Amino acid sequence: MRCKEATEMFSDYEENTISSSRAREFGEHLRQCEACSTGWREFSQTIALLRELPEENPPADLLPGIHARLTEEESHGRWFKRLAVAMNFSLPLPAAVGIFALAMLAAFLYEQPGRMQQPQQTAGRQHQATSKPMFALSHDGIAGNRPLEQITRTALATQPPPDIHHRLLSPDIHVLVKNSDRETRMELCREIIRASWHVHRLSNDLFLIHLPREDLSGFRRLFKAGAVAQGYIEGPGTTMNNHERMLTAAIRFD
Amino acid sequence: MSQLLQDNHFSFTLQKAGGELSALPAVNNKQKGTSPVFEGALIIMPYQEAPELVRAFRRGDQQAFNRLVALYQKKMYNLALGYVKQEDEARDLTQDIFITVFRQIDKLKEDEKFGAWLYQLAINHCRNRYQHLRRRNFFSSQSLDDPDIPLHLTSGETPEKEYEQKNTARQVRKAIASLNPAEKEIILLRDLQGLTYEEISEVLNLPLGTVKSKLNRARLALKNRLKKYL
Repeated sequence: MRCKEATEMFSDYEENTISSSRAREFGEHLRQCEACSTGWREFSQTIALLRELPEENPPADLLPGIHARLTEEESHGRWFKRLAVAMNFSLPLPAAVGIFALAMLAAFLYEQPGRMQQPQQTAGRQHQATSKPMFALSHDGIAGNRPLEQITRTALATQPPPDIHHRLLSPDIHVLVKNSDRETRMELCREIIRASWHVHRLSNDLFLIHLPREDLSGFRRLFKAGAVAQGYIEGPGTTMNNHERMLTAAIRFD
Repeated sequence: MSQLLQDNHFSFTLQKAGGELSALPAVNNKQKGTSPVFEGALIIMPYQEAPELVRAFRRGDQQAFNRLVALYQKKMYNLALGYVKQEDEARDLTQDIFITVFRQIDKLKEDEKFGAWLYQLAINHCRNRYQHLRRRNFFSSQSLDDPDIPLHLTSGETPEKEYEQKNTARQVRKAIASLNPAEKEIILLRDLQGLTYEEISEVLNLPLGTVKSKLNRARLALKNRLKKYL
């Protein structure tokens, strides 16, 4: 028996799945070959170590965590569906989210500095509507670390589309979060959940948040506190049937 | 009273030990040449419940889902831990696996094959998560420690022995983590999860002979990583 053949038999021999004649050949080879003998000893020890490896207990909050996540996702789904029904939304939800995601991704990929209009500082001022496509603006056009309290208003989302439901698919607020680490993202997510805003994850890097208009200051504080937002645009929001004004924010992690 | 039950569809032999159920490999190396019979121990197989629980869950019984999670959570968590090593990541990954079970139970064609389906699903999740973390250099700083302490098989009866046991487990886990994904996968399934060759063949969709040869190569690779500690 050659060494290669013997080595290939280690597992079979260890689990006793070879014939007795082959096992004898194997044993004979080990007696004659010191390298294979050493290899076999180490192999046996390795298997023994593996089998002695204790199983770790899963964390106690595993099942509650599953339920919490299922409930959370379900409530978001229900919320969006209720919203869609309230607005006589005709598209199926997955299709609508899909269209939105594609549009958002296209917009974010479409980087064209200079297309961003100069910010108009006075809140509440009447803005000139332009014919720019809703998603044609990129936040990368904003230079430097602009203070977040300088809420910029641009042509983006200032021209109300004819159907109100489209408004929910066109973000009023766009935030680009640059150079964020995992902990920062987790903290932001925790804060968003704590604020009971509705979050939709469209991709690993792109999130959609619905929040009441009166929570806007909290939203600004959150992203200011994170000191990570580099671009910020605000639109007028959407007035719901119950006269509550909702804002839709798109958060992209760069 | 000893009772050995066989399930034709992917189940494990569990041994009652110290009031807690702990899984044993289907073939025990200490009983070379014998079938996997554990004398003097109460042998039960709660995994036999799985098909009935799946049926109940399909009918809308949430408790059945909870019971399925309780049955498999330790296996899934340890599988996840074998891939991602970090406890928080392993917990999230395990939750992802069961959430997918919850959402996609209708895709399971045969209730009796829940175990195999669950493992296939879990492996896919683990592979994806591993790739995701690898792209972010999550594993880049992880290497084996210096071999200042040899690895021993100890029972952990004294604090010193317990320390040695923990150190050994840590080093072995690190060595497993350092294997390439295919090697790691097959070691996890066979030597840590205790799946039979046939079960691994079904989960990984590989011929039996390929499973055997891949396992041998993976074990040799692990042996080479642990050689300096042995």
